[in-house]
Amino acid sequence: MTRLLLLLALVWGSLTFNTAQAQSGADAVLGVWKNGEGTGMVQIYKKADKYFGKIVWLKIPNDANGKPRTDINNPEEKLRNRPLRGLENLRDFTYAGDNLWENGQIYDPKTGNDYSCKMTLTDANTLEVRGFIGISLLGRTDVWKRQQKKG
Amino acid sequence: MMHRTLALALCLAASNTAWAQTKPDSAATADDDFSAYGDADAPATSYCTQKVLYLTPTRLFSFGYEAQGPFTMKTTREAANDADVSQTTDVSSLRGFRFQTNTPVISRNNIILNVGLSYWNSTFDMAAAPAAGDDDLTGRLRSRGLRTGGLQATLFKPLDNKHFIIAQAQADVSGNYLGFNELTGQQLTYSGTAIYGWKPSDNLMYGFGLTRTYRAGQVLHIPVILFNRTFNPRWGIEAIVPARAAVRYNFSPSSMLLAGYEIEGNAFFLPGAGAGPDLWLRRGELKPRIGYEQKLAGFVWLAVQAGVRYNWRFAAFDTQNGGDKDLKDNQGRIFNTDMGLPFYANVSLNLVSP
Repeated sequence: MTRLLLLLALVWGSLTFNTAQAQSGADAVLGVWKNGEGTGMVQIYKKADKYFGKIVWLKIPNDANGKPRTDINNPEEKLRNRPLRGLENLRDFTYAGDNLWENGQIYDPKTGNDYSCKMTLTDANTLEVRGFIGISLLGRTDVWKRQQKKG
Repeated sequence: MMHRTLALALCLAASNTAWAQTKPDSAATADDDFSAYGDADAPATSYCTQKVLYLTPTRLFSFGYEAQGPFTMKTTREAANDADVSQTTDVSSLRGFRFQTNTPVISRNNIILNVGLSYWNSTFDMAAAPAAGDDDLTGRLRSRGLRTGGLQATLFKPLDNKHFIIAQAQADVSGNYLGFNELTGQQLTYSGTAIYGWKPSDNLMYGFGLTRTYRAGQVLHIPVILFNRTFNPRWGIEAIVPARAAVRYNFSPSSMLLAGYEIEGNAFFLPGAGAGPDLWLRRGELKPRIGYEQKLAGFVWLAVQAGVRYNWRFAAFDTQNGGDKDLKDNQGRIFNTDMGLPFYANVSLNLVSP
C-alpha cells in the first residue's frame, strides 16, 4: 500500500513537473529586467496569452523640477502627462517557441516612437530585445539582464 | 524497492525545488522597492548609447537633390611670366542627386557597425562656350560634370556606460567618369576618423580624435572634436568640428530646425582629353546653412536645407595630394577658379534609424 502511494505520488509529481516545464518555456520571459544602458527596469507579465511589460524603475526618476518623469515626448499631447513609471512599453508579444517572443511592439519614451519588436531568451537571465522598422535587419538589439531582489 | 522508489521521488521533488528557484521573479508588485533589485547573474556591464536626447535622427537611406546657383565661374590657367589666361562662364545651376545608405550590420548595445554606399553627381548648366572653345577645365566640367561614389563603415564601440570609441573609414572614387568601365585608381581617395569619447549623461557626449579628410579638396590629417549637447528639450548643439556644426532647436522630437555649416569636398580626377593634361580638381566647399527636418510618417523624414556655397578651393592640380602640409601651397596648380557665392538648396527624403 505504501509502495502504491509512493508510486502515485511519483506519477503526480512527474506530471506536475512536466506541466510546469511546458509553461516555463513560454513564461520564462516573466520577471524584472534591466536594460542594456542600465537606466531602467521593465517587468514583463502575461495578459491572456500575450506578454506585456511596464517600466517599474528609472535610474533618474524625477525631472529637472523634482517631479516624477512623464511621457513628455509622446506624439499625442494628451499622453504627455502620464508617468513613465508604470508605463506599459512592451505590448502584445506571443510566444513562438525556441525562447522567442515575437509580433510585439516596444515604445521608446526617449523619442516617442513605437517599434516592431521581438525578444529572445539566450539564457535564463539574458534577454535580447530587438526593436526594428519593418524588417528585423533595420533594427537594434538591446541586451537586458534579469533582476532579482537582493538581501 | 521501497528505498529506490523513495529516492526517485526525492530526486523529482528536488528537481521541482531547483526549478522553482530559477523561476522568474514575476511576483514582483508595483509597490516593490526595485532599487533593492540587482543582476541575477554576476553584475553585467552597462553600455552608453550613441545618441544624446533629441539629436537629429540617423539616416539609414537618403534620397536627395541639391542645386546651386546661378553664379559666374572664372577659370584661370596659370602660367609662368604672368601669361595667365582666363575664361568667364555663366553657370545657371550646378545640380545633382544625392543617394546614401547607412545600414546596420551589427547593432547591439555593446557594438554598432554600420556600412553604407553613397553617390553624388554635379551637373553644370553653362552658357554657350566661346567661339575659341572652352579651356581644359571648363570643357571637362561642361561635358561630363563631376561625381563621387563611396563605400563607408562606421563603428561605435561603447566601453562602458561613460566611455566610447568611434571609428569611421571611407573609400571614394571621385572624378568625371560616366560608367563603371571608366573607374581607375587615380580616382580613389581614402578617409577615416578615430575618436575617443565620454558620455556623462543622456544630454552630453564629447570626444577627441584624428581624421584624414579630403573635405578641403586635398588630403589633410587634422584633429577632430565631437560635441553633442542637449541643453533642454528645445535647444542643443551637434558638432564634429571642423567638418560640421549646428545649433538645434526642437519644435518637438519629430520636428527640428538647425543653423550651422558643413564643409564638403574631395579630389576629383579629370583625365586628359587629347593633348590636355590630367587634372585633379581639388574641391572644398563651405556651406553656411539653415535646415529643417520633419517626420512625415513612421520613420520617413523630410529634410530641407538652404544656404550659400563658398568655395574654399576649386582648383585643378597636376597631382592629387601635393602640398598637403600647407593648404596655401599651390605648387602644381594649373587652374584656379572664382566660383562666386551662390545660394543653394537641398531637399531629401530619409528613412531614419530606431
